[in-house]
This record gives sequence, structure tokens and C-alpha cells, in this order.
Amino acid sequence: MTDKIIETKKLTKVYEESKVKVNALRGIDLTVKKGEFMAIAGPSGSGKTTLLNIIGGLDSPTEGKVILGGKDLSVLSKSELSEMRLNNLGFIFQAYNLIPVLSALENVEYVMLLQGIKQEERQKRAEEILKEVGLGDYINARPNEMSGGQQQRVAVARAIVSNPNVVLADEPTANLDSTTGESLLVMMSEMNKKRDVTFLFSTHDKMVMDHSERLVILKDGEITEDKQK
Amino acid sequence: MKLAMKLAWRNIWRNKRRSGVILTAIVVGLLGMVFMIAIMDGMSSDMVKVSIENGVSHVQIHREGFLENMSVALNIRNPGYVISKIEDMPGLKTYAERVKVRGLISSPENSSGVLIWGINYEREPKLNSIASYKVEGEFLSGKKGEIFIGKALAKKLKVELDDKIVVRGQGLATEIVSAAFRIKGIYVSTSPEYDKYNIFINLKDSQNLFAMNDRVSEIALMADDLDDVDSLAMSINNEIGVQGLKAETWKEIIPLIVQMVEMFTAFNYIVFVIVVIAMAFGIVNTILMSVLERTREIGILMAIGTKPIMVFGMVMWEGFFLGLLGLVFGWIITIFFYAILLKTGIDFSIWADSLKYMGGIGTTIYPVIKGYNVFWSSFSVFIAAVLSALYPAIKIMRLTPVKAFRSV
Amino acid sequence: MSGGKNLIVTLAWRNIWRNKRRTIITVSAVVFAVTLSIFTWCFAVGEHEMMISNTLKIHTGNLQIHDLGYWEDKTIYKSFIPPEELTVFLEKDKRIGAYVKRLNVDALISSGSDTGGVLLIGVEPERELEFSSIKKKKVSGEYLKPGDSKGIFLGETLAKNLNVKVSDSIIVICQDYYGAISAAKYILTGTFKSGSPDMDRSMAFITLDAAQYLLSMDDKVSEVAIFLSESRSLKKVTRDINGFLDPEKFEVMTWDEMLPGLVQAIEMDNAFGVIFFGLIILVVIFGILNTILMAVMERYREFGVMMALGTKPRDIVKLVLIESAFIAILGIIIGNILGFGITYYFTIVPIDLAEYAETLATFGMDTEIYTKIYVWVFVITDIVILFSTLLSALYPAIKASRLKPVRALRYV
Repeated sequence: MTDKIIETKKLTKVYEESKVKVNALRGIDLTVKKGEFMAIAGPSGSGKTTLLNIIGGLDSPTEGKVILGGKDLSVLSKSELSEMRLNNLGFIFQAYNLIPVLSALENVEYVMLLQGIKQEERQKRAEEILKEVGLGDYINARPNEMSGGQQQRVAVARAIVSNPNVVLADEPTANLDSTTGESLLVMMSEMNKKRDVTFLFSTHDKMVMDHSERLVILKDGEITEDKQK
Repeated sequence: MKLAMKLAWRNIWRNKRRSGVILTAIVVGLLGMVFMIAIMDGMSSDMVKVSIENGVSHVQIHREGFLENMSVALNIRNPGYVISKIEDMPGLKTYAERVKVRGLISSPENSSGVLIWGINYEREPKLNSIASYKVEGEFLSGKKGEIFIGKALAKKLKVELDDKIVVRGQGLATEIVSAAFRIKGIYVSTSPEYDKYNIFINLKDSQNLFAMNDRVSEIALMADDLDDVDSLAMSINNEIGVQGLKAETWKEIIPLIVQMVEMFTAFNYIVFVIVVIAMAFGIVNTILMSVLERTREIGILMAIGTKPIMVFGMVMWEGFFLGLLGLVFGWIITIFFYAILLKTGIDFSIWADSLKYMGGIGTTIYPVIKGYNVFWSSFSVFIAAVLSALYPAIKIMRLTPVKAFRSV
Repeated sequence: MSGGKNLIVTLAWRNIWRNKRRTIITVSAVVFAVTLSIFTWCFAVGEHEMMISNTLKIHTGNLQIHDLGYWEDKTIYKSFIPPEELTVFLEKDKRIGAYVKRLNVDALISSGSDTGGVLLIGVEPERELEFSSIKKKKVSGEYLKPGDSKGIFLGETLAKNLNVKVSDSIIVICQDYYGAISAAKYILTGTFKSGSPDMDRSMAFITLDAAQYLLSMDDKVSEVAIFLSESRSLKKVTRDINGFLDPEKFEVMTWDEMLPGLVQAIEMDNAFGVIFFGLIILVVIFGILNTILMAVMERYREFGVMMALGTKPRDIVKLVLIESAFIAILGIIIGNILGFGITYYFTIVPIDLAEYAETLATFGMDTEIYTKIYVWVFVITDIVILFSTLLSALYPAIKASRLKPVRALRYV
């Protein structure tokens, strides 16, 4: 029981947009164990981003619930959800992940700062992790001075640095060329092993699917396949 | 909150042109507001200063009721005693005793209603600029039969230096008395109206003419400092009040000027309010735009655990910094211009005639930036900036990350 | 191609509604500036007209005729007997509301216990009352009666200074036409309070006959003051009178020449008004400039597409200018309605400035001020605001039109 990190129960999401109802999710039951490196794949419109957003507490389901690290998200307030995300989750988005006015180091420090970690430790940990993702020379660079791949590496560093239980990554390689994407994936896989952090991707990138250890296929808001590799 | 501040500060510098334009608006608004009010205040101070220096002085002692009808019967019987009582009072700088009687001055050509001042030729110049307005001849020297009149009056009477003119008025014994005087000097003050109405003779001559013996109409006083005036008047009243004498401050003597100054000040506060509203429209839109175009970014901030209140704080800090920067730049430029204008003044000579309505102030106005101007204009700019940030800040705080991502 | 033009207009109109909130705020800024300008301006013009008409009605008149040089010297030796052709003209011409003859002299006035200098004015009471508001300003007793050679009518402050009440006797002493001292006793008929401290302190009225007798001046007068039925005809009437009066003997002076202080006070007030209004426009315009600039910058990509499709830079400029014009015109329409509403309200309910009564009185103003609607104020405000909005849009418009399509497309 203890290694069950994410559990969703009969998740349903219905969007109502100008009188047309869209069933984005239709009763998703999914269990993720600690330390998994898994991908949710599917064509666009299949509901993978919605699922990720609901798991991350960014969106709320129409029906069903999410239990994250033993806590039911539906009972948390907006501010408690912020707190929960801060301490348990790391996020990596498709693009424009970073705060443009902060340097690489400051972007990584940001989450720790919210957590109230002291200046020296913050700096030490941020520098270490940036070196770890291969950006030791870019500590003081602003996002617009870095390539897309470097920016995503900073995003990974930021997601990892606060020691979250789960990192949610929404199509992290979509804007990268295949070489850069591959090396990013390899790096994340290493992090997963070394730190025992759960990674949950949403993707339609073949490469991501290949690298993942478990692949869940989503189609029209339903799980059609769930295979362990 | 330190983090919100840091983000806000850097956000302001992200779009330099946008921040530049809105800062320019703030600076222009502040500059205009401060100087409009400073000019008004400069006029007000001049009005008060000129009135005080043209004979009103800081405090006047009279028999009660004298100011209402300037009757020669309402006089100070024993000026020597009064002077001995007040001479050593703390805060008193100088004093001069005067006779003031309304009368008629005549030359063979014309006559004119005037106010006759019998003055102590030595003491009066210490608290009255009249001697310095001399343009022809000499100021009074204490000799019998001297008179000092305005250029405008001399013109009206068609008289020149050393000509004889007749002064007529009512003496203490209620009979009409008259005497001839020789024009010793001619002056031009700041107001031709003043010059037409005020004539100066020696105190002794006036006391003789109006059969007043040693009596005087008033004793005028100057305090060491404008702020000491009220307390000085009060302590004099404590000493001499029982004798039916009363010390009145310049505020009571020229209520019209005081009211005019008050009206100017009331107008100034309206200026603060209007300029602030005008500024707020620009600032609100600028902050709103800069926040809305960062919707996605703010969504990410929230997704990785930033609380809504901190996002609110960040936007508020942006308003705060815009206001602060506007103030810093605005005041630097304001002080720069102020330093120049303090030296050169502003030429109002095209409105010379209307300035005489304002107590005969000079045609060069020196702006005066007073404390309340500094405070309220800074405060207004600041409030405009911070309040303008409120609406965008509340709007963005209500945003959820999912909505934020979808909005792009 | 007219169809193309219409398309730009349609595009502009839809564009401004893409971001409703921003447009509403910008329009509000314009509304604020327009409303403020209309109201304060109408208020100021109304106030100035009131100042002028009050001052003229009480005594000065729209124009006066004197012996040449009288105004400069103000002496009884510069007096005249109104020539026949003048009185005929003044009687017959329809533009003349009324005219009065007066004799002015500086005199000493005494109640026995108190004395003061005054401007003694001989008037024709029945004629004065045809236009003058002095009767309305009476605070005690009665105005002079025609033929009452013993009556005297004083300013309130003067009466107080002399310590006299209605029916008390008053002695006037002055130098007559031949340089001799002349004195006469009068009975106080009443007192007035004009509001002007100067007038109330220094003016005393007796009948013209009594004054001419006192000064031994037969039918001579100092001035003929003329009141027009319509103040607009001032220039023409002045020209007509100058046409037949001998300029070597007489001077025809209009009120603005006689009251330069009043004219300049109004001018100064106007100048402050223009500076203040200019400041507000400047501040508002910077805000609008910023908004348009941002609206344009966030659409760089779109402009790039438009240009790639063959839109001329000139049309981009036009598009941005028309968008700004829409914003300005919307603001102007609402501002005019609001400005009219507020101004109209104060044409019925006066603004009460009793607190500053004495200051206002110096400038010949009432303490209750009514505004008046002036169409030209609306027109000028609208033109200035429209023009300055377009001016502020010019920079963003030109910036947008100078874009290279390729660069614009790359700009996100």
C-alpha cells in the first residue's frame, strides 16, 4: 500500500463550451507506484493533458477523485493545493517553463524559496543540481540567453530540486529536436533512478514512449492499453 | 514578500519602452502638478509678504474698533507706556508708531482722497519697504512740513518735487484742519492703486495737524519669525488688553488676502485629485496589459506552487515600483527646474494689471514648493500607481493555471 | 476602391473590441478628459461673463465718452457738455440700452465725528435706474430721487466708517471749478453694498444737478456712460460714435480699456485654465499612447501576415489611426453627453462658493455661480481631444507599418 503514490478513482471531466459538452475523461482508474517512470500517450484531444492537470491539482474533475500521497485532493482549498504542489510535485511544461526575469539559478531557487529554505542551502543545492543537468556554465544566464534544450534542463532541475514525490511533465520534448530531446530523456531517467522520483509524462513522442518503463495509452478519454515494459 | 518584490522589479524593466512611456506620463503629471501649485503658492506667499512689508506688518496695536472705521477718535493715548510694556518681549523684532487718518490732498489742479500716514521716519523703514520705493527726491528726514507721495498721485495732482500741496482731514476735536506740505520725495511701489492712496508725513507733523498731542493711531510690530506672530499678539493682549487696546495679527488685518490664499489652496487640492485620476487611467491600462500578456507565465508560477496571494503581491509591487520610479525621476527633474526658476522666476508681466488685485505683488513670480505640495503630490502619484495595480492584481489572482494555459 | 476602405474600417472596429476591458479603460480616460474640459471650461467662461456683466452693470457701462485725457487725469478740468449730435445718436439708436451723464470729483466727506476721502459722483437717478443694478444692491434706505438736491447715497463700508445712518446729515468738502473750497450739507438717503470693497468704501452719489452746483460747473459732465442692449454690438457702436465725434476733443473708451485689471484677471485665469487642461490632456494622452502601442505590439505577427498578403504599409497606418479615432470618438460622444449633463445641472442648481464671498466680490462675482452651455466649448474640446489622440497613435502606427513581414512573423 505504501508504495502507491497516485491513485485516481473513476475520474470524469466534462467541458462545457458554448453549449457543446466535451467528455475529456470518462472514468479513469489509474494507480502509480513510487519510482515509476511512466508515460501517458495518445493522440491530441485524447485527454492526456487534462488527466495530468487534474492529477497535479491544477484542474478539478467533474466526478471521481485523485489521491496523491494518501491525500484526497478534492477536499483541499486553492491555497492548500498550492502548498501541496509546492511540496509534493514538480512540473515541467512543453515550453516557456521558466520565469523570464530570473536567471537559471534563481529559477531553480524559486521553489525552495517558497518552501522557506535558507539562502546558503538554496544556493548550494541549486548549483549542484544545475551542474548535474550539465548547466554548470549557465548558472547566471537568463532564459532568453539559453537554447530550448537548456531551458528544459533548467525546468527539470527546478522540478527535481525540492525533492518532490512526483514530477509531472507535459510533453517536455515537443519543442525540441530529437537529439536534444533524447539527451533530456536520458537525464530524466538517471534522475529517476538516482533519486527515486516518480516521473509521469504526457506525450505523443515515440521516443518518450520508448524510454518509459510503463506506457498507458489514452483514447477519447479512456485507457485503452496499460503495459509494463 | 521579498521574492514578489524582486520579480516585480525585474518585470518593470522587461518592456523598457512601455515602462518608459508610463513613467513619462507620471513624471509630466507630477511636474505639472507640483509647479502649478508652486506658482499659486508663490503668488500667495508674495501676496502675504508684500502686504506685510507694505505697512501691514505682523501685528498692529490699536484701540478696539479702529480697524473698522479708522476714526481719529479711536487712538492710543499713551504710546510711550505701551511701548515700554512690549519693548522687551521675546520674539519682537522691531516696532513703529503711526498716525493714520483719512483725508483729502489737493493741489491747485486736482484733489484726491487719501490715507495720511504720520510716521516715525527712523523706525518706519525698519518694518516698511516704503522708503525703498523712492524714485525721486528723499525720504522723510524728520524736518517740519515734509511729505512723501506716490508717483501716480503726483501725476494726478500734476505736482512735482518741492511743490506745495495741501492735506486736509478731521482733527481730534472734530474740526476740519488743513496744512501745506512740500514734496520731499516720490515713490513707486508695486501697485499704482497703493501709490494713489497712501501719503506719508512726519509723525510729529501729523500729531500737530490733527491735534493729537502725543497720541498715535497704531503701533505696528514685526516678529522675529512669521511663526511667532500669534504668540506675540497673545502676550501683548495679556499685557495691554485691559486698557481697551488690542493687538491684531496680519491675518485679522487683511482677511481678504487670507481668504484669497485659502481659495488658491482649495483649488490646489482639486488639482491633486484631477491629475491623479488622469494618471490612474494610463497606469491601470499599462499594468493590466503587462499582466495579461504574462498570463501563461503567471499560470506556471501558480502551477509550481506559488500562492495566489503572492501573485497579487507581485502585481501590487509592480504598481508600487512604477509609482516610486515616477516619483524619483519626477522629483529629480522637478528639483532641477525648481533650482532654475528660483533664480530666474517666472515672468508674469503680461498680466501686470491683474496682479494688483492680488495685493500688488511683483510681476516676477517665484514658485514656492511647500511641504504640503511635496507630500500631497507625491502621495497622489503613489496612490494612483498602487490603486491602479489593484484591479489587475485582483484579476490575475483569481486566475487558475489551467485557464492561464488555455488563454494563450 | 471604396470596398477596401470599408474593410479597413470594419477591421478597425472589430479590433478595438478584441480586448474589451482595455478599450473601455482607454475610452474612460478620454471621457474623463472631455467631461472635465467641457465642464470646467463652461464654468470658467460663464464665470468670466458674469464678472464682466456684473461689473459693467453696476457702474462702468459698456463704453464711456470723456473729454480727451480725462481718464488719464481724472480731473474736473477735463469735462465737457455733451454735444447735440451725441445725444441725438444715443436717443435714437436702438442698440443703446441707456446712457447716463455723470460728474466725478474727489472730495472729503464728514459726518461731524468722522471724515474720509471719497469719489463723489453726480448722477441722474431716473436714468441710472434704467439699467444699473445699484438699486438691487441697496442695503438700507432708498436710492436717490430725481430732483432731490439734498440727498446722498453711500457705500455701506463708507457709511459705517463715517458712523452715519439713513437721514443723518453729511458734509462734503471739495475744490470747485475755480479752485475755491466748496462745502455742502446732504442727507443720507440710503446705502449700498456692491460687493466690490473698493466701491463700497469710496463711492458717494448725489444728483448731477447738485454736483454741478457744488462745483460751479453748469452743464458740464465728466463722463457719458453707455449701456448697450446687446454687448455684441460694442465694436460697431464704438466705431459709429468715433465717426462723428471730434477725436481732438473727445475720447471714446470701451470697458476693457477702462478696466484692464478685469481683462487681465480673466486672461490670467484663462492661461491657468489652458495650462491645467494641457497638463491633463498630456497625462491622459501618454496613457492612451501606451495602450495603443501595446495593442499594436502584441499584433506584430498579425500585421506581418497582413503585409505578407500584400497590405500596404500606408493601410496599416490607416488601420491603427482609425482604431484610435474610434476610441477617441466613442470617448468624445460619451464625454459630451456627460459634460452636457453636468454643466446643464449647474445651470439650474448654482455652485455655492459663499466661503470665499469676499474674494469673489473683489472680482465682481456672485457667491452662487451658475454655469452656461457654450457650444463652441464642446466643439473645441472635441477637436483638441480627437487631434491629440490621433497624434499619440501616430508613433505606434508608423512603427507597425515599418515592420518587415518576415521579422514580424518571427515575432511572438
